[in-house]
Amino acid sequence: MKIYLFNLFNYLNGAYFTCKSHLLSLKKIYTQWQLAFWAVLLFIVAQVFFMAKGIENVPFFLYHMYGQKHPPRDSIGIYLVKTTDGYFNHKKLSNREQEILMNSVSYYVNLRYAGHDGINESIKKRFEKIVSGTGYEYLQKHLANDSVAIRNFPQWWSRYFSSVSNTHAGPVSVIKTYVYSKPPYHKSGTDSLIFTINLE
Amino acid sequence: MARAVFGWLFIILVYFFFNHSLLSQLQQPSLIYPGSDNSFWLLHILNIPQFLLQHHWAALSFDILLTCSCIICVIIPQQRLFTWITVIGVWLLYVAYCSAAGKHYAQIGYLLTPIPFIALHNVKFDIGWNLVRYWICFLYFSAGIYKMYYGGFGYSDNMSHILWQENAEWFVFNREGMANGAYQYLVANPGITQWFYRMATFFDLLLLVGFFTKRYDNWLLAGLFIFHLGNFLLLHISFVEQSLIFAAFLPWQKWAEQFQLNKTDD
Repeated sequence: MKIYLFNLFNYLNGAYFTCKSHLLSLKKIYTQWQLAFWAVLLFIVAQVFFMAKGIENVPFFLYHMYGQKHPPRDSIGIYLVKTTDGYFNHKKLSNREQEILMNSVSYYVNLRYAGHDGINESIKKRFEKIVSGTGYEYLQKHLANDSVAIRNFPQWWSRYFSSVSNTHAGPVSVIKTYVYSKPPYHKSGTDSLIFTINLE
Repeated sequence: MARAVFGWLFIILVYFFFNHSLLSQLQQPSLIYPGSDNSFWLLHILNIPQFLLQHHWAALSFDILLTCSCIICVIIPQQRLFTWITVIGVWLLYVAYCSAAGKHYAQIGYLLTPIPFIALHNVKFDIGWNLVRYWICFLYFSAGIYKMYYGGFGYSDNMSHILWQENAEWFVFNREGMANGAYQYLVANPGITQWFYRMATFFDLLLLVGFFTKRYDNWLLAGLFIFHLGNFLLLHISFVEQSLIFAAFLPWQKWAEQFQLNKTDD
């Protein structure tokens, strides 16, 4: 049976790599390029560590990608852009443009209304006992968003919106609304204003 | 091969340019998002993404340097300086872009594939190229494992809910038509939709084969392409910047031999 499986494996694969051949490859890398050998070993150890901890640290990517269960919901909150011509169809923009334009709004809302994005708490947890005084303030300044940055968000957003939409004048509002989970998946009639800005 | 890969990267940078996503086109965002990623934290502590994002002249210089370096890598592949600049540049572009967008994205194909070209020596390049190929196989295989580990695979309504959530905004602007009907049908029939999720998991797990043989790289390439095409059609997730991962599964050696043969015939 073992011989049969071995021959079947050979037949199916042709040129194949086994655990042994991978170890031999590592040995080959060690003799030909030691730096790469240690880098690979370190990379594997670090990747396994970060996967076990569930923390993504570039370049140790964690490809969760819709792996979680998505439970049913009655509705989902979405952000829309309202101009004098009605709702702006941001879905016509490319993914890259949508990400900057609309995902940043979601982040801004969390910061403005929740008052935090967890960064200050993380800084405290990681550095409170190690760093103090000006060092701690430096970390907060470079890792967290202060009130000025949050206040300036709508101005920045309007500049980017102008550049991607070619709309350069008039009032523009960002609103939050809901889409129902039952067909025909229409949006709620109620819009909550996030901010309004006049394009110049 | 270097010319093809860096040419491909150049096309991706042009795509970024036409989609207002080079750093100089981001209009100096006011918010940053290092998240919980230690590498992002380190770069933000060094003030690198903030400096690039908040000074237009720095962002423009960065974009020009990155683009020109990429072009030089296409024209003169056998040099190291501009390859290093290109590789470091795209990683900085990725970090700064994610920080500005408030989310860390998984579209990293353009980051990984140029790395092996830092090595000029053939043996070192081969080692680097194989390692990147294994890295890509690992990422997608782990995605398949995560789908099973976190329960998404076993939850029969999962894809239906994902489809609805990811298309919620799309439904607002597309209330009629065949596409609307098709999406509504898929969301309303989780039994059918979940098969897409299972197929995606299958394609992810298939990359395990890449660790044991290169014989089926064509099939792996087809699987990856179908996986990303499915994401694009169902979830509107573009894969332009991710497309460079396909390069790791293309038959470069066969093409080189064929090219050499044709040249000899001439």
